[in-house]
Amino acid sequence: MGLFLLRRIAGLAGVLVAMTIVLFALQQIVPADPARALVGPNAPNALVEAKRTEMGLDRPLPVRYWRYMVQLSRGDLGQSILTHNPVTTDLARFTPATLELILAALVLGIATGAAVALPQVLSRWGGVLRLGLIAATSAPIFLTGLLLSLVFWYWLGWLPGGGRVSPDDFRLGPTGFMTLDSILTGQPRMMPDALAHLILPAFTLALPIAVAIGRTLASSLTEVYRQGYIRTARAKGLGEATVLTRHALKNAAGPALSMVSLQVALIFNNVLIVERLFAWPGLGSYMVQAFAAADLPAVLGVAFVAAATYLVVAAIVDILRAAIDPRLGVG
Amino acid sequence: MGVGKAAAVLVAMGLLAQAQAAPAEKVLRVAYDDDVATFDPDDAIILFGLDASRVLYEGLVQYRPGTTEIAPWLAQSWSISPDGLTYRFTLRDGVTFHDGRPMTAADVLGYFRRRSTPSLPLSYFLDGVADMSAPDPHTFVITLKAPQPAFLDRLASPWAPKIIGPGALVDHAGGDLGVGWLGEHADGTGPYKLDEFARGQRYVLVRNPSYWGPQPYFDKIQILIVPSSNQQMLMLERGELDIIEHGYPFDQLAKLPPGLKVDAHDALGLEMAYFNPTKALRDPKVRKAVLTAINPAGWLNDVFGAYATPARSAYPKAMITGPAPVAFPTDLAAARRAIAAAGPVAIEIGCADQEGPVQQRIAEFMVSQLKQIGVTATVRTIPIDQDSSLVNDLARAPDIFIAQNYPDAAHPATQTGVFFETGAALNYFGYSNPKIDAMSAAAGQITSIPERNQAYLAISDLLFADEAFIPLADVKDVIVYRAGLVDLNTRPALPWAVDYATIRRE
Repeated sequence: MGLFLLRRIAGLAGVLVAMTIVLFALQQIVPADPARALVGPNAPNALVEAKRTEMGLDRPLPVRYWRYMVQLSRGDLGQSILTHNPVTTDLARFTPATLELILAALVLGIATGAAVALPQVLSRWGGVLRLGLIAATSAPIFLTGLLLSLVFWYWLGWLPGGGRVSPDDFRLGPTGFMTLDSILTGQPRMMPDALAHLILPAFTLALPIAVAIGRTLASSLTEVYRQGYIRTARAKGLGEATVLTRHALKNAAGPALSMVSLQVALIFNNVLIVERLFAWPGLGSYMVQAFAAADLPAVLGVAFVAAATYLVVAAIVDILRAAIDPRLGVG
Repeated sequence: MGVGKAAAVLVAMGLLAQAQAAPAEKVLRVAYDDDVATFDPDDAIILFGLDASRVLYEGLVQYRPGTTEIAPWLAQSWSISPDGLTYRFTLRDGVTFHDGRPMTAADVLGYFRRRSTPSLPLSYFLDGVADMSAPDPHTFVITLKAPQPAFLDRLASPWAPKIIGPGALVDHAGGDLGVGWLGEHADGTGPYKLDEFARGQRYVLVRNPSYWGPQPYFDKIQILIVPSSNQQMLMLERGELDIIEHGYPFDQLAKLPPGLKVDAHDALGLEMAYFNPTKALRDPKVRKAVLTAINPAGWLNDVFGAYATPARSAYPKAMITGPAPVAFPTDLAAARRAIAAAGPVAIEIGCADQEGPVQQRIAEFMVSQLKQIGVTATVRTIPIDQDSSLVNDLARAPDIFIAQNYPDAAHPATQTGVFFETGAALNYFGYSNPKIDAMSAAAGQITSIPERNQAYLAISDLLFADEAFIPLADVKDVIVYRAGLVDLNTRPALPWAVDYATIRRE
């Protein structure tokens, strides 16, 4: 296990370094001007040049890269051009909102995926269900989100259309998760409000996850149900529920878990769209604004969080798979 | 009736009376597409946020609503020395900052010194200032190095110096001139105080009970960050928002849902095409043919409906009203012959990534019209942070760049200085004409407004004759709001903003 973790951490460091190199190279190619973005479009060129010197942008790329890596080694991600805050401060502010949304989407996606996988295998309605889900996710995610928003917020008025909480006197607590903080800070009346705000964006994000997991799990279960040990279990007189939970699911869960890991990588792409669509104040919204302002420190900071989250989730999935199926071993 | 029941009735009556006694809070709800960088008036050019900024902080002078005339604000009067170098402002009495401290000329001086610090992005507004002083608690004096007839306009600009209190600049200086603290707080003199700054979510302004002027109608201004314009429109329709100050699609304005109204007013946003003279448009005959094809008469109504008019000069109509719309060549047959003679002509149109899909739509109409004269055109969107870099690589830059930009203030010198002069910040393709520079320098010293305007219109004619800057359309600033709101008090030089100090419900 120790070696496994060590390998994972080394992998994480390698990916992050490679990412910084790519982003710095991109910055050189793209003709964006952070100094101009900072001082405004109408500022005289002399002021822009002075600002460029002050920001060290007149130095050669390798020098800037080295300085950035030295800063990074001290845990300093630099200062955001857009907000003027240390990037770490901004990340601490925006990450909980995104994590709360992603966690909710994963829970919803896994539960929905499992719920549709089982009928697909066990009943003749499986094909119809699968068709329905594929139809629901064949549209681009912004259209799905827009449609859900139109139906459940605009027409029916059952759910809020955006934001994390109704404008009120809500105080965030230690976790930054609205749902948890409502309890931790003694504001239980905010819990249903926070949950209501979470449903539409989380469900929009969850739909593609549900389809991917549902299809993978259904196909693994179909394969497992053909195995001899399932026939043996049934021949021993075990009920269908016991066969499913004790034998089939345990052996079919591996590929579905790998799919969860893959979905975490994909979910970050969709978060950019869903957060904008539902005015969700998380890393996706922060990243989009940072791009528009040529705010490289902020973009790098978000990329760091995304990469680190993905690698951590991938590691957890590997451990879980090994725990379920000891033949795989860790790593 | 039992004692219990009687007590319950009494409690209920008490609660009812309390509910009746507490008047409902008057809240105005608006939305921005994006976060503001900061409300610090010295630290960033913002567009969304100007409405809030001007009720948190106030400057010495301002533009009168609906006009480009300069009116008193924190300075109740001013005088200019005969040589045009010394501006003496008499400050208003009874002004206090949000933390309760009274404003004095020394505070104004301290603030202006901060504003002129070169590390602050908007310090350039005070370029040309030789000296500043506060000879007494009610007087603030600025001395210029050379006469600048546009100086008062610079002080009335939406991004002009606005006085920050010593509570922020001294108590919270923090080694960065208070920039860090002011990123999420405010200490001005305006009719509202910043009550909450939840980045990415919302800003809340509450009425300042100690304000020196009339109390505003609304107790609270709630500003939500809603990036999707579709969602903003639906929120407005559902009554979850009161105003959309910018970005309501032009093609939706003719079929507004009941209960919504439109305020469309002249603004300083001029739609303009910039020609890159180094590629396909190097040939004057091709340029003329292209000008014929991109004539705004062919697309203006389709893109803007009733909310734009053909440009009358290289200056926005609200700044200078030219005598007639700019005259584009109209002979399409001649344009076709010119292109046929020049051989295959392919051009690229760059459109600024601004104003939602508007620039893209204009470019697409131009492509279609250019096809009629035999020119093959393609469209590329230029991100807003990359447009000022076009001049660095003209070979890779598009042949035409279209954008709608705002000058710093309503004085034509601010338009000329930003776009047309040699080396100007938004002179996208490096145009340089010594005659224009000389004419601009001369026009910038004229104090008579009619004479000044004539001088700038002469510059405009020369620019159009040079086929470098092509004024296309005067675009109105459009605000959509729920019926019942009045006294919006918009200003041409103040983009995307109503006046929160005056707006009220009928």
